Amino acid sequence: MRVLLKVLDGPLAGGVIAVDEGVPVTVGRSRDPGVVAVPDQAMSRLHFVVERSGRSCRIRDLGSSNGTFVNAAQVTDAWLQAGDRILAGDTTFEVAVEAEAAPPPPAPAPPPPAPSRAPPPTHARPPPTRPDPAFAAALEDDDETVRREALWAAAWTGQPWLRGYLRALLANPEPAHRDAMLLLAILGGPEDVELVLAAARALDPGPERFRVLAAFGHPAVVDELLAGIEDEDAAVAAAAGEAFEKLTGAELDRIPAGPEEAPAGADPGDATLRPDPAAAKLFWRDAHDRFFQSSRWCRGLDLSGEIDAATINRLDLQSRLEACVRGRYLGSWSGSPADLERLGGLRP
Amino acid sequence: MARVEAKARTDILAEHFSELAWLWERREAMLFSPAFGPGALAAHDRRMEGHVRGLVVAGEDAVPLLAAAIESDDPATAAAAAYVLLRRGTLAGDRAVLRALTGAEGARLDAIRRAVCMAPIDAIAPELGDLLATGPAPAAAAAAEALAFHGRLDAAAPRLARLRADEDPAVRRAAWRAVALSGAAPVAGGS
Repeated sequence: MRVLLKVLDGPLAGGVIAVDEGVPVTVGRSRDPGVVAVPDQAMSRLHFVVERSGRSCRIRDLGSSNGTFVNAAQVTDAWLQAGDRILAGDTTFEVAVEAEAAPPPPAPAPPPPAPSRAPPPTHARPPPTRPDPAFAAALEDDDETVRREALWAAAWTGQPWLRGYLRALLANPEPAHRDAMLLLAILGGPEDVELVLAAARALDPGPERFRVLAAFGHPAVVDELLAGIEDEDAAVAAAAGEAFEKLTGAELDRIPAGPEEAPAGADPGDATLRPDPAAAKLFWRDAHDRFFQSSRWCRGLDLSGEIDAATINRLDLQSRLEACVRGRYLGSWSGSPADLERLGGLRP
Repeated sequence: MARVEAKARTDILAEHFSELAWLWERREAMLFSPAFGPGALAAHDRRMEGHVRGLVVAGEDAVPLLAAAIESDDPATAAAAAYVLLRRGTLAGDRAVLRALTGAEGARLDAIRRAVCMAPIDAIAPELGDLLATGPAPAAAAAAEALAFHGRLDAAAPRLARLRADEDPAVRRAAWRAVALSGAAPVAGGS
């Protein structure tokens, strides 16, 4: 089965957006990676997201200014079916469902070409791209730390092949790809949810896995963090709890771990503490919908768009580094990694 | 009486330095930590600056202490000494740091390189350029990184590609950090 959003009118009339299983499609005016960009001034930067799960397809408004309408009724969250009409800004989409084996539908007649018009949106991932020759040997270096520095250098210097390279590498993730996982989590977009989740699962449950998930900041990873908080290993639970706090900004109570986890002869007052899973679940139950209105969070701040200095300075130092390298890669932050290290703090 | 005063002064300087080295080590650990925010880092830096000024205003009285400390195998001690020597802005201090950077290895080289990154380098930038061009590979890579940190690295410098292909992984690592810090895409090449 294929689900398509056909663009009936508006600036991209004639375009088709494919909605793949498990890969949410975010539509809006933003040109951020992972967003199907529609140059419709009446749309919000992140207007709505469509997700397919099995034979079901769901649309959620992302807090847009002008609202999302399905068959003329304004919705914040609705199930879609074939033939539904979605109105966002001045653009109308029609939901089409096709059998997988069917040949592709004839493309709607394109409108007359207009020089200023962007190409019709598609949701196909760009093909993996090869690294620049100057980087190629370093990315295959026997020394893991050299590979790591080369990857980060590629990010700081905005290498256009980098995300394609990371996606191709992580199609078959291994623990040795931990640096690539972290970097894709930082640089990737909502279209990378499944890839990042699957890649992180190649790492043992613990600080590395949860660091990747928290760096990604997408609300879809939170279920994994909640499961980690309930892990019987207190160290795993602690790492998951810190990641949950990093993404959501929640401050979880710490409770004593079970008596079976205390070392023999340990003072009861020195009991290992772990994050309170009930508090985490309660927080998430109340905050879930708000967080699903965007695709990247850190400390409860929406980082899906461009970041400003005030926001950067509200982050912890690890998250600040991640936000700045992402901003630098995407062209929304013009600083240098040295700005994050020099004595006296970040330059204004 | 004068001897007592001199002893007291030495003790005060040693206290300043000991505290600075400890704070330097702490700072390196907190720099990209999720447990601290920019405000905590700025407060930490102010605290360090107080000790740095205490050592800088001591003038020549602090030199024996710093000269011994820069030879230390403890990275934070060597780094703190190199940093204060550069902040003093004297020819002798600058030369001591360049000498240490040229001869150091491993963690001590990393520490002195970090100090050169954090300190003003106007007076030694030409020597760092020379080190990059003709120095031993570890020192050349450290010089490249320090120059890049200060926005003074010529990304087309012919030595850079060779450093990225050096047999020593620590050199290759430093050369790639220089790429990141420079923000300029590297030029392919090297042997």
